[in-house]
Amino acid sequence: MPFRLIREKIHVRLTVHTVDAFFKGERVLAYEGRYFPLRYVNLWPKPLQKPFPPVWVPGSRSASTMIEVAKRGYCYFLSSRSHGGETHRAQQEFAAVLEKHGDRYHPFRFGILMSTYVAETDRQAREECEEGVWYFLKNCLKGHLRREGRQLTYGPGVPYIPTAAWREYLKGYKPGRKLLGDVENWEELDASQSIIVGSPETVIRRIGALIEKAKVGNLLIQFQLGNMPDRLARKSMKLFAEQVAPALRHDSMKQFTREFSGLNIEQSAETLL
Amino acid sequence: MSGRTLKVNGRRVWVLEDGGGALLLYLHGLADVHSVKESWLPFHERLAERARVIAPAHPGCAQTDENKDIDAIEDMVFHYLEVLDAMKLTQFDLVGSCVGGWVAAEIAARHPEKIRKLVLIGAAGLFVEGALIGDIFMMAPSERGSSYASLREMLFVSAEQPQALEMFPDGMGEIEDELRRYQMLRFSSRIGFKPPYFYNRPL
Repeated sequence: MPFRLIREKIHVRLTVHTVDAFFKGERVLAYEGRYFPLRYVNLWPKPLQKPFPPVWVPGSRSASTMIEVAKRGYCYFLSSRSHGGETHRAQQEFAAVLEKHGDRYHPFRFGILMSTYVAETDRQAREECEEGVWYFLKNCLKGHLRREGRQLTYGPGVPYIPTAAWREYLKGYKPGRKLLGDVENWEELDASQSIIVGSPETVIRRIGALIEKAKVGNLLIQFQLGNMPDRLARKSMKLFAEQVAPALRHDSMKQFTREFSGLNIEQSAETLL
Repeated sequence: MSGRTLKVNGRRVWVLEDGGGALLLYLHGLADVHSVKESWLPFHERLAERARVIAPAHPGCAQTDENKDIDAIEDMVFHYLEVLDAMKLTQFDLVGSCVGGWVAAEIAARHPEKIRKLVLIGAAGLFVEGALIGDIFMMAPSERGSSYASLREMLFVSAEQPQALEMFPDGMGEIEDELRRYQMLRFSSRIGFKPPYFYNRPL
C-alpha cells in the first residue's frame, strides 16, 4: 500500500482533502478515496487560528506542488537540501506561481531544510562536528543525494513526476555529477552550503547571506548529524538559540520590512510561526 | 511502415503498422518499439514480411495519451478491447513481449475467441514458483549516477550486448530517448508497481 501512496501523490490529495474539510469546520468526514475508503474520520482538536493554521507542503521545485500550494493559500517548504543559487531560484519560482494565482510572495510562506553546527570558534566547530558530518554523509544518505550505489531519489520507475516535468528535470541533469553525499573533503562540503559549520559569527554571516538572497523566512534545521553525541548537538542548539537566531531574526525582519512594503512582517511572522 | 492515431474514448492511441497477410497484433515491452525506439526493431521487419503487424503504443507511451484511470492489469484488458473495437479487429494472432506479454496473456485468457495464435516473449505477469520476476523499478535507476549495466543485464543476455548498449546506454542519451524509456516505465508502474509485483497469480 505505501507504494500506492507514492503514486500520483495520492498522499497529498488525501491530506489536502482532509485538511480542507477541517478548516471548513467539519468534524466528522467521510473520505471515499480511491485507495483509502475512510468512512469516519474524526477531526480534532479544532484549530484556533483564522482562517486556518499554516499548512506546509514539502517539495523539491516541482511546479505542480507549488501550484497546489498557491491555489489553497498554503506554505511551501523546499526539502531538497540544495542551497545557494538553487534556493533563490526556488523562491523566484514560488513567487511567480503565487503571483499567477493572484497572491503575493511572503518570506514566511517559504521554508528550507538545512544543517548547521555552531561552536565557540570556527576551529572548534569543525573539530566537534566533523566525525558526525562524515558519518551522516557516508552512512545516512544511501540511495539519496549520492552517486555511490543506486540513486533512488527520483527513481524513474516511480511515476509521480509527470513526463513534462521529467523533461524539464532532464534538461538540467548531469549524469555522474557530484551530489551532497559524494563530497570528498571539507572544502567541497563547505562550498556546497548544505551544512553550515562555524562560530556564531560565521553561521550568522553565512545563513544571513542565504536569507538575504533567497528571502526565506523559515529554516528547518538539522542540528544532530550522524553519530554526533547528544551533548554536542544540544550545545550547538543552545548557541544557535541564544546567539545566532536572535541576530538572524533581527536582520531578516529589517530586510523583509524594507523589501515587502505593505505587508505587516511582524504580524505575519507571528501568524505563521 | 506507417503510423496513425486512433481516437478511443476521446484519447489518442498511436499505432504502427506494416506488412501484409494475416493480422498480427503486437504488444510491446520495455526494450522494444515505442519504448526505446519510435520505429521497428529488425525482428518486427522480419515479422512484417509474413504478416500484417499492428503495434499500438501503450497508454502514456509514444504518442498515445496517458490514461490516469489505468490502475490495474484489468484496465489494460478493457483498454485494448476498446482499441480492437476501434480498429474493427475481431480475430488475430497475438504477440506480446515483456510487459506486453502480460497484457497479451490476460487478453487471451479472457477472450480466447479473438486469438488465433498466442506468442509470449519473456512475458511478465506469469507467476512461476521459484522464478520471481525481476524488479525492473529497482534496476531502472542508474548506479553511480550513470551506469545502466544491471538494467541491461536484467533485460538482455548480457549487459555488454551491442543492442543492449544502444537501447540503454550509460550516462544520458538524447532527451527524447530518455523520455521514451521513462514513459514506458511510468506506464509499467501503473500496473506493476504494487504487490504482487508484475504478476497476476490467478493468470
